[in-house]
Amino acid sequence: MLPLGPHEFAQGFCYYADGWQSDSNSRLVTTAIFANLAGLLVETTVIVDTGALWCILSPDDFGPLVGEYGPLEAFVVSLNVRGIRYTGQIYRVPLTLIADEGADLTADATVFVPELYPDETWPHPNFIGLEGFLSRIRFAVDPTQNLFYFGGV
Amino acid sequence: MSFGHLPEMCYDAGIEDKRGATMNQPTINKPTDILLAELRDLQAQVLNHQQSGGAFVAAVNAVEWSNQPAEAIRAVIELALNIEAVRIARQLAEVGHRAYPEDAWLKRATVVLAPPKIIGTSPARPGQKATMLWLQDHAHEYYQQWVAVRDGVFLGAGETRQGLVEKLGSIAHERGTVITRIV
Repeated sequence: MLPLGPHEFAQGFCYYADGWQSDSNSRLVTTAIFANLAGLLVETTVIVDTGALWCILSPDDFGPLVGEYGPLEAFVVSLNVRGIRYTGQIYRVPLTLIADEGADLTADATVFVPELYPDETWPHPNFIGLEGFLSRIRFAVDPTQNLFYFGGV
Repeated sequence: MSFGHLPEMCYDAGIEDKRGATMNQPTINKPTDILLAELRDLQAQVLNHQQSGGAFVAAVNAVEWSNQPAEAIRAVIELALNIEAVRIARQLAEVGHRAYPEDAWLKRATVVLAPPKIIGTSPARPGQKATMLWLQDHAHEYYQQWVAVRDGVFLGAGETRQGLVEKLGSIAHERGTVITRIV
């Protein structure tokens, strides 16, 4: 195991699952907290994906965060998610990687929330992406124990 | 000091040029409407895989953006984001905000497009592994449903997130309660 601490490579680690139900590929699935300025938390599962540009949060998970203290929104963009182009908004959201040991890590992240039709359901998981979050942390994977290490820079 | 020239970047690798902000590049002086039309065409070609994103970045780099109206800078930022050229969108937002500090859209763009920023840490709350192990073993039983799990203990399931939260009550909002849709 890597040592943990504020001056080490990693400050915490979490356990990840190898895959997700609808996805036959190997994935790195863990948990994270999205928050708003009022301290309301949405704790859910995410796939850590360096191939994803932004973090992606389903509209159902994002819903509780909106309001007077909701995340700062910017503008409408389109994003290709698993071969399908979605339109949505990007927001600045405090996002916490949850540690099983050591310390959690919270960053101001850029999150894409797709806009869906009234009868449409988001068919994908949530994601933590590269430019949205991962590009400013150190992270490492121990596949022998399914541990995801992370630390701030 | 000119801040209108953007460092060249490798689009695919997202590598920032380290040679500094001022470079000897030709500046294309075209009417704004023609410039935007050309960039829109180029963006469409990138989306249709007829052109590389690097070509779009190079075309943007060839322009002195501090001389362009704020609306043009905003339009190109949106074009860049739609082909996921986030780094050049980010730099354009910074150039635009410096040129037009009173423009609220450009100011907001610099905030939202900024690189992620670490804002804090907190002690770990054990239970995350237990929850992930439960999901790994049992999620398939609740396909396309919302489930709530806390420290490896199943709390409930529902057809909608809101319905599940209402059923759970206050524990749904407590730290350590993971609510997720099984997809």
